Amino acid sequence: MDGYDGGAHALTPLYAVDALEPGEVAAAEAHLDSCVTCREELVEVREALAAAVADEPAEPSSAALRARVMAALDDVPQLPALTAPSAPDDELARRRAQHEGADRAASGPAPRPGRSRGTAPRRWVQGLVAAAAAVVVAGAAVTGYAALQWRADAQSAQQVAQAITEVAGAPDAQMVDAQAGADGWGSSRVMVSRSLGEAVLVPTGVEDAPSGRTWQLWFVSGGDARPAGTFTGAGSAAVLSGAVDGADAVAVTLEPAGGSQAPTTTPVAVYPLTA
Amino acid sequence: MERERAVDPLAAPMARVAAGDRDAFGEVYDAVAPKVLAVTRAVLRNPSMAEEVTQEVLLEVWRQAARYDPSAGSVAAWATTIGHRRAVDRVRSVRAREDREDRVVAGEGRVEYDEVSEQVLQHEDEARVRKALKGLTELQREAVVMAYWGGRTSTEISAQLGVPVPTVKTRLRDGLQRLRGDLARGEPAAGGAS
Ligand SMILES: [Zn+2]
Repeated sequence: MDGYDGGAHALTPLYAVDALEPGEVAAAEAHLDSCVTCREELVEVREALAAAVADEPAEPSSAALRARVMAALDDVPQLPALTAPSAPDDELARRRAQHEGADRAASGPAPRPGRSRGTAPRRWVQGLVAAAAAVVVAGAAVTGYAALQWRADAQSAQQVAQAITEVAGAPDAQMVDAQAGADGWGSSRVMVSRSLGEAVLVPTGVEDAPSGRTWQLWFVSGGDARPAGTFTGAGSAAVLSGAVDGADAVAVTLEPAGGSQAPTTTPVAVYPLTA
Repeated sequence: MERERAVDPLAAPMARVAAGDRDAFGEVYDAVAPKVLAVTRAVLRNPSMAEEVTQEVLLEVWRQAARYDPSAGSVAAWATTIGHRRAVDRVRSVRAREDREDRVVAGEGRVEYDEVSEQVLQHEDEARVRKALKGLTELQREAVVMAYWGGRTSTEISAQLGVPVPTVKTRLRDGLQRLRGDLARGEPAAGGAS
């Protein structure tokens, strides 16, 4: 078909390859602000194009370029995260960020995790709390983690993204490294906000649970471990169900499919929380 | 909507970059700079200009690290997008200047630019790009390569190919939809981390 009339949607693919005439760009961006379908298309087309670009082979000049960039970091102050994208002051910066390709995803309603309450004492629980090491208080810097999950199942992804954005934007947000990380769990982290009472597991580097088993999350308080949800997939962040309350740590164990009422194995990872 | 994308291996280092971690930035640099260099070279056809733009882009990644939004794409796609945009901005301002000069001196640089631009695929790693775009028809591939690797607007492509602008837009749209679908289905895309 030669007649090309997709209305404002039609601007999106051309926007993705920077092939619009200068006068058309503003209209495309205004449309992207209001059209979730086109935002999704833009993200995916850009991903596909980046994947299609072959890496430039290293040359003698490559090392010099790298050295120049590394040396220049001293002269380039980093910008703070945008925690309130709708605030007027941030709007301009947000638009600029969008212009640079960082279009923000639509945010759905925040999930309110139910408060599940089973408790079960385990011996390992006491020991691990004592091992609480430095907790990284990343504050605003953790916003880059917003929506780390990649599940394209838009509804739940957006809800998870929303929860993560909320936690990351909380003034008391903490990013906690795994302390007792078993194989594959060393890079995983938990992001937590006590004021919101929410925690999110960021399972970087984690494998899928073996078949017939599931990873299970726990809130650990004193000698008790409270179930905080299960997840099998390695690919997406998991919002812990239940409130953080007075938990001393978050832990993960491998459990039979469906999860357990109390931990049945030694944790693969523990994330000590500060008070 | 059932598609599931892989976890971005650069997500964790990128979060550390946001906190000012230079080692993590080195990791991100090594992963994305070759791609940014490739796309800026394709568009600019000038290695030293491409290096300049690549340097700007990587410093922008450092500067904006805390504002990087993973829901808007992988770190590699983000950096590549910034690189493409900047290369295109620069090539267009050069071209606009040349156009002004053309009125005085009968189009020297302009002719040279066009000749090189038509050979985008010869200069870029032809086999890999072709493989990535193998699901596209010949006409779609031509339009996508001219737009993305050649940094041309739909109007410029229309003039160069001698076909109406709406036709160019249709080819681009259909070609990009196809490319997007191929990636979502996990078909082997060329490029990627080598
Ligand atoms: Zn649209």
